[in-house]
Amino acid sequence: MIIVPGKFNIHRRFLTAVVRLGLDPHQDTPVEILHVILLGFVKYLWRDLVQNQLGKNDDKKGLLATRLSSFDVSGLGISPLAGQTLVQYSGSLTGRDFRAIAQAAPFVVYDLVSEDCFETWVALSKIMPLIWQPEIKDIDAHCVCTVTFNAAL
Amino acid sequence: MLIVYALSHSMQLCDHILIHCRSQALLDHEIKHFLLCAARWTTRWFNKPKFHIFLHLPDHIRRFGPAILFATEAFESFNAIIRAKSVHSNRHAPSRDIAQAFAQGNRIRHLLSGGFFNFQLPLPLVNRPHPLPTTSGMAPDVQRPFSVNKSSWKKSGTGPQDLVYIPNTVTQYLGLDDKKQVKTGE
Repeated sequence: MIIVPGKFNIHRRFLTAVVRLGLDPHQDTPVEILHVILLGFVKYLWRDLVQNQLGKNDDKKGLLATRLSSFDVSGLGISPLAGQTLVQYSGSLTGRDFRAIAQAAPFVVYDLVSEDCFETWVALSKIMPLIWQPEIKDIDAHCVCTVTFNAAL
Repeated sequence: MLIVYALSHSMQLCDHILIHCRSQALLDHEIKHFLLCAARWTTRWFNKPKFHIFLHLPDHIRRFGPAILFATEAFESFNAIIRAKSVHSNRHAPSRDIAQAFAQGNRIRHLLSGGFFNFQLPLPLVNRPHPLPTTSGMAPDVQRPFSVNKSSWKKSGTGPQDLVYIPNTVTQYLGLDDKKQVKTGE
């Protein structure tokens, strides 16, 4: 038996080599923003919107595509959006497409979805620039660490 | 059971939000706000593990720096380059074919860049001297991978090198183009 502080006491042979060497997957494997956010939340929400909520309503889908195509991207530093592609192939888009969608969505879906759904899109759009920040001047103001978080509880 | 769990989870979230409205931790606050919005819309989102994993992000930003530094986005796109080398393969041994295709690319690039290669003409059979005993036991007329004789190192002539004198499809494929100037911030 070996004693892992604060954890279950597990027989040594049940532990893989990495755990014995001191790897804590929760701490040591960072949250990967491509798969967790772009190909995670943004993809979930976008597919839900296009495939479930709009579903067979071709008029609304057409409207969404048109709005995306005519969306002003001059502030985003990307090429104009291909609305029809983003809507028609909502199941097989890449991270780059979702990055554009996450920033444009609140401005193009506002009257196509329920208020709760819209609020979620707005919340997600607000998170995007915070996460993709290449430089953080004040880490404490940017993200509170769990220590203070637990202390607050 | 699931609903009870989801409810208690979202109630916990509400508590967290209340406490955190006071703190100015921007990212943390926005993440919890997003989760609260998702919970209010439909708790079925929380069947997805990523909604929990997301909560660890502020810790990891604190530990590893801005999240863009540990995103796999740029590296993931290299898959396309590797995959492109597998196009004309029968897929019986994909790794070997891809490795050989890259090695071939490297070889051609080396030759077209004017790199040296060890080239010794095999002597005609009649003129061959008697094999001298060598330490490796190898006959001296056998092509060796390395030579200390300067004259056996050759490089490609002007004909092949003219092919890559100006940027064209060949240089583009072989990565011989000049590097694009990296844009820098102001």
